[in-house]
Amino acid sequence: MANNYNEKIDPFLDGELNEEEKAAFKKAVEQDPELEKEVRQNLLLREVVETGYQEKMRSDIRRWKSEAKQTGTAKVGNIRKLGYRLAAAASVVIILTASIFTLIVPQYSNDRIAARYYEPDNDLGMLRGNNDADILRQAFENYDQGNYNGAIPGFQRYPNNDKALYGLGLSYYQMEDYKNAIETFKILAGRNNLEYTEKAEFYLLLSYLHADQTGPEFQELLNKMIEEEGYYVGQAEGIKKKLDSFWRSLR
Amino acid sequence: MRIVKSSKCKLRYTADGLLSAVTSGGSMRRKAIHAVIEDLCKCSYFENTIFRFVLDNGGTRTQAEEVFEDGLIKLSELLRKGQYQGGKIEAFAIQICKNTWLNMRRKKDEQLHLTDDISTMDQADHETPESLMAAKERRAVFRDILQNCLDEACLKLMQMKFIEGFRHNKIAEELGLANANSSKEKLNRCKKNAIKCIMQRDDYQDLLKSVDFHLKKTTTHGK
Repeated sequence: MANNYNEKIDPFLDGELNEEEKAAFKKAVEQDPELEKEVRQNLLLREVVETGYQEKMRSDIRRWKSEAKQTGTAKVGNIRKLGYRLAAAASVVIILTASIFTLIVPQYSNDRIAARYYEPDNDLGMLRGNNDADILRQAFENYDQGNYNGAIPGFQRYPNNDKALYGLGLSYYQMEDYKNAIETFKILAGRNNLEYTEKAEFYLLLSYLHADQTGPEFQELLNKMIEEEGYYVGQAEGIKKKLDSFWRSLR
Repeated sequence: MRIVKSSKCKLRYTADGLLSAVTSGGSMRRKAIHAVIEDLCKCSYFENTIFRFVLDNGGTRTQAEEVFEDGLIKLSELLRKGQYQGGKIEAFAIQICKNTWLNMRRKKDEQLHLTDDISTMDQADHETPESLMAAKERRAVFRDILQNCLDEACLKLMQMKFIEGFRHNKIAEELGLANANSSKEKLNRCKKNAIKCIMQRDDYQDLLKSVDFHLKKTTTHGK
């Protein structure tokens, strides 16, 4: 056996040998069956160790999932828990509403509901890439500075770019140009881009509300968001609750 | 640790933070990987997305559970091996789980034993281990070896060295050994004993044959 190669088995398997050493080692393995056997034994052992690591990871995953379910963090199959929370929230709302009726009722206007459930997309900064074209980067900078009107032409330059389309929709939304926001978010939602679909649907829903377009398209979207239990399910359910509220009928 | 509230999941690491931690290696990488996997496990958006994808594409809830676990395990492996290049963590993890399901379904449809990227990369002209032993059966054998041939201390040491890519001085520090040399010596002892134990198994020759296609492959711990 080529004893001097024994100590190189681990560095070889760890990718720590340079090209020259690697070539020499491989040659030695080809020529020395005993060394080849040792390499195989080491590989086998590593596979066993990897299995142990994966088993531990698997048990951690199960534990974390179960912890999440116990603390109510996980929502899958947890509709009942969600229902209790909504019921509790609704009770509080009802008590408060009864006492300050005149202050509460106006809050059930479409505009107020949309504003209540609006949340800014703080991910927008993360969406930017170093490879973005200067115009697109500038558009995002304008958006950041609140210059939505200035951001729009930049975003419009990239109609096929989902990131730009998203920025465009948000800019229209911020400018309260809900007609264009609706058109833009509709296109984006239809593209089925994992990154943007849910966000586009959420802002589309809010845009419909602001524009007082609460017809079949709005209802269909709202129900879809609730049924699919996506990221914005809490907001969608809250909106539905508000819309179905008794107090809203008093407007 | 700061919670990144803007993300769809409440992750303790930003994309940049994770990239930096996995590139640093050692305990920073380990901590980051565990945190990311734990946070994803507790993220209903992530879980719902995976389940919906599997169920919408012909899978069952049990298969969705399996994809969820296997996908996260694959994620930890890719993070360790430096294959995360930045970008949204959830999207990266979701893509891995989707690929896991597509592979699983293809495997089921075509009645192939294993078609994942690692095996295809190394199959060459040799017999594949899958032709000798089904993957699940193989895992069962390895579990048996783990139970009988490796004590906890040796397993921990080998995982730190071979999987997590720790240096011997760090291993010594963490496991309370005198120095890097003690760690090296202990590793050699553990390897020797484990291999000796494996050699006594009836299926030793089959197992040995089954790894020969790996000869061209080296692990890099994301270096």
